[in-house]
Amino acid sequence: MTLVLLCHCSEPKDTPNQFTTGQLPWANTENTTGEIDWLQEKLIDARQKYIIEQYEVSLDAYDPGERLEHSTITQLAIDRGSFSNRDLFQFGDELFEYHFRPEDGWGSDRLDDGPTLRRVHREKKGGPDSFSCVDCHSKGGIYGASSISQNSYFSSDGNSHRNAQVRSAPHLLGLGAIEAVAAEMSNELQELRRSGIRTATTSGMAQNVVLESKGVRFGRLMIERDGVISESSLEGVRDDLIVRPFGWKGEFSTIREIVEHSFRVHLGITSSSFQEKIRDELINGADYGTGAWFDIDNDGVSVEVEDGMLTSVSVYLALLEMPVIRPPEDEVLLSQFSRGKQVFRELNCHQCHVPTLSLENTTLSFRPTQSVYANSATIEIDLATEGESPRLQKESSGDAFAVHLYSDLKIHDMGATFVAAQPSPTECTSCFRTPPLWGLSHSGPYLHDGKALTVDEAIRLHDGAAKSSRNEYEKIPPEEQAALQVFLLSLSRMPSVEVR
Amino acid sequence: MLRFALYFGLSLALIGCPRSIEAESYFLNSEKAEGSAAKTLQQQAEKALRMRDIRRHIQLRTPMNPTYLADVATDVARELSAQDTLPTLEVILELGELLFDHEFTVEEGMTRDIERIGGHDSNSCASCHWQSGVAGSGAVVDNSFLHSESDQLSDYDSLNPPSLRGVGIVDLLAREMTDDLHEQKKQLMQSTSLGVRGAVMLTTKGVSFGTLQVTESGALDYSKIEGIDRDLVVKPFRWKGTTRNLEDFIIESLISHMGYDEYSFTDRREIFLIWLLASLPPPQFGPAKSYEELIAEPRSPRGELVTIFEEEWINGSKIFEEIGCASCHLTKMPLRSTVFSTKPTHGVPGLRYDFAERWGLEFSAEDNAYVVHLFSDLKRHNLGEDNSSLHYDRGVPPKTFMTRRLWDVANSAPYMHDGRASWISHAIAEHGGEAEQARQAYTNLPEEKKAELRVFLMSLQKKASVVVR
Repeated sequence: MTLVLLCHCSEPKDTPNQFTTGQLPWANTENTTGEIDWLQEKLIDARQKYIIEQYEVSLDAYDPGERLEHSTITQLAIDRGSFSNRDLFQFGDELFEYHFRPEDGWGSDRLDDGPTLRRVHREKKGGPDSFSCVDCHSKGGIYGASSISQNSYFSSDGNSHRNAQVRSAPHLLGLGAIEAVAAEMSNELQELRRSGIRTATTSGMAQNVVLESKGVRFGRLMIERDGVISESSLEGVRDDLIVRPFGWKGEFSTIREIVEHSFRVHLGITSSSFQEKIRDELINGADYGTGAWFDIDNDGVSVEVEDGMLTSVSVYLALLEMPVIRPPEDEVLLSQFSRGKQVFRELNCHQCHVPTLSLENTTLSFRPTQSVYANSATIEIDLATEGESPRLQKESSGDAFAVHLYSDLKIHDMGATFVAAQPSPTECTSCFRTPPLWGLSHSGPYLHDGKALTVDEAIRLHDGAAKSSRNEYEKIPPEEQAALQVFLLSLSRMPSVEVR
Repeated sequence: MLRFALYFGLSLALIGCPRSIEAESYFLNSEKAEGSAAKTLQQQAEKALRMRDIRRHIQLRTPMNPTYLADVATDVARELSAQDTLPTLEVILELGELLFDHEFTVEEGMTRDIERIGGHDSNSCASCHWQSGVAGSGAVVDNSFLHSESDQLSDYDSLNPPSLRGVGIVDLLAREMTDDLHEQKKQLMQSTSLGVRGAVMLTTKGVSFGTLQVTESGALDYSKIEGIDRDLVVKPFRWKGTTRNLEDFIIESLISHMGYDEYSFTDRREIFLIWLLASLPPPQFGPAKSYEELIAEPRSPRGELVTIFEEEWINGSKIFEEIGCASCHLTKMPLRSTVFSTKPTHGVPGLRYDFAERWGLEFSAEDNAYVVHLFSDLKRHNLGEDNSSLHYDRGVPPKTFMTRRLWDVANSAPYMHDGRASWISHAIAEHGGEAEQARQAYTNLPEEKKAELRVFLMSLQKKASVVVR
């Protein structure tokens, strides 16, 4: 004690010390890219959205259900022509962020104390594992990717996480362009098949048709004189020649399909069109629940998501902005970026991650799928004029639009080490659709299961069809590896501005 | 022998020490005028965009130097240690915000061994604390799975990441409460003599923690204390109230979620994270402020007249008290001091800062204290069988939980420890145990009164801010 008192030799320093402002290495960071103007514009929208939300939250607190009611539209109402595409976008936007409740049809299996959350899915029945879309699509902004904690655990028994298929959620920018490109590719491939059959049967000579669309080769079709087709030489596309650009394994061809699926497996919200398919025995209802066809998940709510809601969420997602490439402003980094861009080609990354696919027709159409809406008008949107900015841009030469997605939308076998062992004898477990790399800067962790925390790790985990590129990558000097990463991390998106 | 050597060394160190421990505590400077929390949306947006650019600056440098941000943190920590050129509060907060958002690399101390269920489950704070901006709550998919190593998810406790706004205030409140309780214990010990029984009602800031007794033999009898451990330390953090202060909370989180190994790096990143979280202003309170922006827009976008539920809000606030919610979710707590401080650690001196203006708390002359609308009593309660966790956590039984702070309840869905309730009504219905009566009272309310209570609850939220990602 005495010792402590003895050395109480100076007073606490309460006087201000010298500033060291400016010592952080980024102190002089200044935005010179025009994003300040973008910010001004987006802030107006974001503020408006905040006001609506505040209003809706209080209304809903006072009168439960108001909020969902205001963002729910039926296909019937859409058919009456009451809504512009912009309106549909807004409805979709609201639904995207709405937290669903049991009384809205959220969850499955009615229990005394309400439906339960299931972080690990049960086979095809799914979770529910979340309350809203934005729960897993928020990284780098709304409609972004999932963060490391937000992976999904699919196709297990509802409890064993180690047997589940782990999947990271991608960002949702540019989906409209991807759907449109894939549809054109599917049409072209099918046209090649049709003309092949025509030629074979009329000429009486077997045809060896090379399937190529937008510079991407999908193998060959052997067509006999009698029109019999051998599909054994197909590559990266299924027998139906439909290019399915969505889902890590290329399971879905349209935004609508993936929206329907996500509502069902993540939120336990079954669409009316899905119920119809069970009724008509196109789908085995027993795989999806124990209820009657009109309430297959047996939660006591039969109308959960009507076709109109699927339409509005799909239109919303299709009209979202395109990612951007933002080269660094710093000179040293800029030279790394340019070098990285070359390395990307030198290592043949671009063979699968095709930088640009061209798009002829920017019109996307949406058709309801419930039978009652068989006579509904098709909703059409024009990505080039109606989309959120930044929009699709035309290629420097010609009339086509350039979709800089960095993918061939093809399925490749990525090798045994790429994927955790999954007992699934009917399909190729290591086959994956080339994921688009645009917007990569805001979508880590990488790969289907989010196993790679950095771009470097992601590259090193490539195997199978990408093995030689990976080997080359491992051989180049660290500066070149870093340059490639700088290039890839410049595949970015515009700032997402929200008022919260 | 070893012990002697240690004492001897310590004495020498004390003799040779140029300053006392207190002297190693510095007030931080703020570069700008106070009240910087009250920036316009436009100013906030520009700052947020700048932070985005800085994050990009860091991201693009990480391929060449995987410890880029950690190195900067080390440099600033070194400046802090040098003590003559203290960085300003703004520099510390900026670094804190960047570290909060940063995805740590293995080179920076992040583990390679990631196991989402039951293991080190994240590489970034913001991964799970993101809803409505910096240090918000997590969605239900961000839940952490703890206290098991099983193959079966149902063996784990699933815990939803809570909002971290205002935790600096929570830290200070808990410290003051602990001091009060310890003082009461001390007085009890001093006032009783051997052979005489004694007792003190442990009360601080209007919260009763039961009775502490002294037996005739002079032993302390803790059997009548409530909602607190025998150490009489108020532990406001984590769902079961097991962590005593912000500093421990952050270090524990870095260790458990990211596999932070305290020997593996020296940047003292927790200092910056502590200061960032401590600086966050408390959520707002009251209907007028919440609807400021609505008032500016007299019509809703759909053309309907905006109803401002001011009367309902006032009624709701009364119902909140009447039906007993407020007995645990205490609406007001007095805070004596707004000076936040960190201890000296690993060469970094103790730091202090008075957050009075930044936090914007209202001062009550009557109580001679700042008023904190915390909506918690910082006490543990039995929430009933249905809410039970599977496991004990540091001695806290399954049914027992720390009262959740409701001050930003509108921003922190989903509710309850496992995030089972997506909406406020369901959250109320999930209350049991000590809250059973209040739940019953809510159930028995006429619909319009329930509506008023919900309007009140859904007004509890953070101030509007711009988030740029």
